[in-house]
Amino acid sequence: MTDDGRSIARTLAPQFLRRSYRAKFVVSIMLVIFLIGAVGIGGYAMTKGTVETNTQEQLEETSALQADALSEWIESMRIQTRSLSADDRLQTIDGDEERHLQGEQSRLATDIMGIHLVNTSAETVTASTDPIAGFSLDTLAVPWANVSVSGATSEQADEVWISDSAYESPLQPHDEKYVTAFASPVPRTDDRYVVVVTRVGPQLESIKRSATGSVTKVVNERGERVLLPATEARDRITGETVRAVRESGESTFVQRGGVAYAYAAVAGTDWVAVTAIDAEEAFAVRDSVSRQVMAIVLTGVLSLALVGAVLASQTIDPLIDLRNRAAEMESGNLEVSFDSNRIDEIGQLYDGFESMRTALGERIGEVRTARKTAEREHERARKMNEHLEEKADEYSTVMQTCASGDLTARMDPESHSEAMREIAEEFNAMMARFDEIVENHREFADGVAAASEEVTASSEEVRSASEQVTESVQEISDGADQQNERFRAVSAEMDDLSTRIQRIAGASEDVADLASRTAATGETGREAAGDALDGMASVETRAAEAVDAIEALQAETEQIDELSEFIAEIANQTNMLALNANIEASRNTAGVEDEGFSVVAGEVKELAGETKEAAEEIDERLERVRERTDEAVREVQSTSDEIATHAETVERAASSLDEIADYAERTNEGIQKISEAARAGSASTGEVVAMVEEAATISDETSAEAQTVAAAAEEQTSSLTQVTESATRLSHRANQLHQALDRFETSGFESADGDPSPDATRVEGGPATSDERSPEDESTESSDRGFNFGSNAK
Amino acid sequence: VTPGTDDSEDTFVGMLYARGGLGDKSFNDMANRGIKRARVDLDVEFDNRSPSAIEGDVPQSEKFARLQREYATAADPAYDLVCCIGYTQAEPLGTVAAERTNQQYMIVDGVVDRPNVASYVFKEHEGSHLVGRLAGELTKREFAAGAGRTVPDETTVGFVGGVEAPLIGKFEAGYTSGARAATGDVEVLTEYAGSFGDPETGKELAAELFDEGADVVYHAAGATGLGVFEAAQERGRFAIGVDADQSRSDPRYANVILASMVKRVDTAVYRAIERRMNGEHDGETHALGLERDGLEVAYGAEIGDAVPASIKRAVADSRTAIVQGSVDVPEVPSLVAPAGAGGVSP
Repeated sequence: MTDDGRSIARTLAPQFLRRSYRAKFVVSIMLVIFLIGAVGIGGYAMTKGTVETNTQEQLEETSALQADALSEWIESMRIQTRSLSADDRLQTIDGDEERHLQGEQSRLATDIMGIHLVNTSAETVTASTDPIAGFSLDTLAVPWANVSVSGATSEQADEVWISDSAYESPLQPHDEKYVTAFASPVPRTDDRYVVVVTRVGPQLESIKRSATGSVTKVVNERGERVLLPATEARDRITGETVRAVRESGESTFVQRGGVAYAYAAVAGTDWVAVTAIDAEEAFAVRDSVSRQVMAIVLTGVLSLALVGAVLASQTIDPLIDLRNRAAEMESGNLEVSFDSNRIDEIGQLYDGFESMRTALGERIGEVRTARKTAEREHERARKMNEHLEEKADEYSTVMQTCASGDLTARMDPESHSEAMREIAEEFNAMMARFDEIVENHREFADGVAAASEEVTASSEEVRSASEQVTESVQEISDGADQQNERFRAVSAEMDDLSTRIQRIAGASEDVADLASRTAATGETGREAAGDALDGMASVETRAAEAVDAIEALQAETEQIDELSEFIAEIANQTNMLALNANIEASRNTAGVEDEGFSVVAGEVKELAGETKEAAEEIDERLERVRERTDEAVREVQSTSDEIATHAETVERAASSLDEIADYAERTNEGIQKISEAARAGSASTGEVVAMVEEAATISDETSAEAQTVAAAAEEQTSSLTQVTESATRLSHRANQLHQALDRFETSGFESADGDPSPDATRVEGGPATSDERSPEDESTESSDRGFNFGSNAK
Repeated sequence: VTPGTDDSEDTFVGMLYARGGLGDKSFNDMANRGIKRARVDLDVEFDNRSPSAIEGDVPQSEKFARLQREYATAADPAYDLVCCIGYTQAEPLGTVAAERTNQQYMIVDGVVDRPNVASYVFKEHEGSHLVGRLAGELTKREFAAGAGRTVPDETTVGFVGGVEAPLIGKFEAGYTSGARAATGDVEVLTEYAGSFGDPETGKELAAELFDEGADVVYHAAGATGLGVFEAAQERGRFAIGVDADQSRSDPRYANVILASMVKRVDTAVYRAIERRMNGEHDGETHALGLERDGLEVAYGAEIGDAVPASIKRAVADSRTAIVQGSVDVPEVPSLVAPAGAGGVSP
């Protein structure tokens, strides 16, 4: 707010408002509550109205949409029916109608269940896509049986009749039998019309589905349901409203008996679509919205009032209380309490006042105490000053005594001043320590002299030992050299060995090769022997066969022998016969004929004799043959025996060859192993050589190392000589130091003459001159420091 | 949806359609007509199901078996009869009917030998005889319609079978005897593709037949028959369909399909329901012939109208003769009288 605004508000606000914060607060809250209430109530009324109108409109719209959808469907069915009846082919009846109707049906929508052509004068179905042609209309009992339409004039022909409610088709399956029929007259006829039967299931389904919570029914002028057959709609939805809606064609909304109805006329029919919904359900949204708005307003106002009251009691009361207590504190009462158990800003304000009050009290107290303390300190400082001056004088005297060489003088540490007491104690401690140091130096100088002598002796011993070490190391070094040489010799030997082993490996491979060749040759020999054996076996068989043949021949010969004997016998008998015949002939020598008989007998005899000779000759020859055969048999037998003997020999040879092959194989294996071993040996030898070379290297290094050690030992020996010399010098100096220290008077040592030394007396006059100061005696430096400290204390 | 008035007295029929479901303009749509007719005439209630309701990679026969079982186990409503359409359901039904002996089934175009399954088959030779008559009459003449045209100096017709089996032999025998009935000296050329699912071979074989002078080729070869139609379109000749009105179920070929030998599945369904309601349901096999609309000749949707009325009359006469029993159609090709043996039009 600008300054102007503020001044205007100041002039406008009444005086009591300007003076009281409480009044301002209360008035503002009241104003806000009033505004919220007003806006809330206005919003409530408006929302309620809007929601109600919406609901009503929605219901009317649903109804109108259903009506429109139905109307559209009816219109399309009308057009289809009309176009069917308008076909010229139906004007003359020629028996081909059924096929025509079937053709039409296949082109039309699938919802169309059947098309019939009705003849009203014959009261029969003329043709149909269903098998009812020729049926009497009475038997069918369908609503389209007697429709009063006529196609006489073109206007009448345009009319399409609709069954005023669904009906049960006598042609349909039982689960989809509800249908609606449309009828249209065939133009220029008076007794013929086309009926189109269509399913209502899909329409019913779409109407049922369309709106949530609402139920839409379609009623005809008598208030009967159109899409379900023979069902009376409830009385409430019939009557005046339906009629009015049908006449006006406008949708109407009526609420009656707890039910909200929306009516919409189905264009092109006498039907009305009635969408009904339970009023409570319909306005459920309105009521709930109103209740919620009301609740919001009330909650707002109440919580504002509550917030106002609480804020007022929480802020205004403590402010007044604070103002009163501050006034009391202002009047001088610092004991006023500002305690509060609140932790908010008000609580913090109380705490602020409380700490302000405490701080004020503390400051006043502090000022008073400071003044008293300052006065006490002033007095104490004055006394202290006096005491210090007194003590300083006392200490000065003691220091002068000490400076004069009496190291036994001590200060009195009793003093009011801590600093003075510390000075005295420190000085006494210093003097005691100084005394002790001088004594210690004296003793130390004696010790050093003795020790130096001992060192000299010891280092002599060490030196001789060191020399021995040098010698030993030299020996080691020599040994290492020899070892090195030997290693080299070993290495050369090993190299040689390796070469030889390699050669052995090579040679053994050659041998292995030879052995395997021998094995192969042995195998071949064995096979040849086998062949020879086979050959011999066959020779033997042949020989046996020959023997058999000869023996058979022998048998044959024997048989021939028998035959020749038989022939000889026959010859004998023939001869006998010839003799008898000759005797007979000689007995009858009377006739010429008998002489002939005698001649024949003679010839027979002669023949018998020849035969006998021939038989004897055969016998002789057979005898010779037998002898030769026997000889052949023997020879063959001996040949066979010999072959058998040879066969054995060959078998032995074959088995020997087998053994040779076997040995050659084993030899080969053995040599292979040798060869492998030799190779392995060669490799191992290589490794040994490498190791020996490594050892030689190490021994080289050892030798070098030993020489280094020997050198070091020699160096050590010479160093020890120097140490000995140094020790001797040290001993000498220690003696000199001892003599110098004898000049001081200390509590542990009385000088031989009992007087302070002249050097010590001279200290009183100032520092000793540089030429008189012994370079070994560092204790004089401490003496200087002690003096300086003393002067500081003054 | 308010459930229907499920009086337990109502007869409930479960329809289980072949693969493809409703809208195939073939077996399934015909079966649907049968049940609708029963619904109007006999006041039964029914339910439609087809294997496409089961999703996922399940074999067709497994889908059928599941649905057949589902119908059997349903309690509200319980089904008095389940109609299984098509021979592909025969194998699963054989198993399911054995399990569910209390459920009554019927099957069309297949045989299941179970006491609770009524099998409905067709006297294919009778229907084939009529289309044979039609082909025989046409090949004698000069005739053009749609994409086809006859070769006037040839009296030759053809037949393409799927697999050489007794069942297909009935088609061939009926067709040949019908053609002979029209023209004693007609030449009937026959080929078998060896498969019901090979349109390529069907096309090759039919093309050969057309090249040898056949004016019309009739097929009994399932999907292989589609190749016959293609060949007819390429060669500019005619073909005859089978089972359903193929000029409607396969409209691409409507310009060469003179007619189809249609198995009236609707009649089978209707008759099975009727017998069920009359307590006559049995495990027998019922063969439907030309009598009482078991089979019919459906002239092609596109070119059927062009068939001369005299020929249609001749075909109708043949039908009457068979129904009356004055003509006995052979069921085996070997029993058909040879060419020139004096086939006489009745």
